[in-house]
Amino acid sequence: MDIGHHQSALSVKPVLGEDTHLSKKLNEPTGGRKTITTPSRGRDPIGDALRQLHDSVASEPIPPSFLDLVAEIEKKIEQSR
Amino acid sequence: MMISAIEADEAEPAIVDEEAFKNDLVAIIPSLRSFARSLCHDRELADDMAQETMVRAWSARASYTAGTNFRAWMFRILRNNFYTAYRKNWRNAVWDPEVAERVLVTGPNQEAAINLADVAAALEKLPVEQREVLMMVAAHGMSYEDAAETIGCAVGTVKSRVARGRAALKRMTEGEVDLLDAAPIATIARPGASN
Repeated sequence: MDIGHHQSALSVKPVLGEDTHLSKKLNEPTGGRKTITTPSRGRDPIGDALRQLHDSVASEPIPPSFLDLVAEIEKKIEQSR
Repeated sequence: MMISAIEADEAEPAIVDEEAFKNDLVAIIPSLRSFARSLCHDRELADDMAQETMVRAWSARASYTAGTNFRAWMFRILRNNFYTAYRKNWRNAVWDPEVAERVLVTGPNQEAAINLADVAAALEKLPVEQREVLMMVAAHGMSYEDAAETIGCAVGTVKSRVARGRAALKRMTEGEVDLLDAAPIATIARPGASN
């Protein structure tokens, strides 16, 4: 299994909090008009701490088991072509 | 285990862009691991759950509508996995010293690091219903609406849980409630764990 290939594929980390489709609504096509409410920002020590906790995990290197899984998915995609 | 699940997956009708779907899966791994960790606290178990979520998502890719909220869709699968396991096998949570050590070194200064560790410990004491929405909204930056859609409840319920969770965290981190006296949360044990 060519893990190195997949590691390079994973080397570009997504910016935290900017997952794909972040701004889009669940099961709602792009362009849907629903009110989106987010918590008000400002001095928020609890929120800051929670974001740091999230960042501390999200910035960890991706474990090899995930890379193996992605490799298997890529294999499936190849096979289906 | 995960790989065999992928291998066992029968090919579904090619109505999705599988390459794009795979890229979305890869991009969401960090957030998925983080959300899983906030639910179960146990690093290995959280990663197992995140991987299981990826396998299930891949198997169900035909049911995902491209252009909709992929993160909310994935979080919904993850929390379904979590609650299924949670109902089957729960135990009292234990504080993970590795997590404490990790968060202690992530703060910009000693004071901030201590606060962060306090928040991490207090977070474990919150009821999981408050913890999950607090992490979705405050840590992952989800809107109240997306969080409500993810867990299948009213927006008002999410707002209420976030507010109660925040207030409880504040009380615990400010010492109004001793962390050692706070009711321990129930979480799940990975197979083979000693307690």
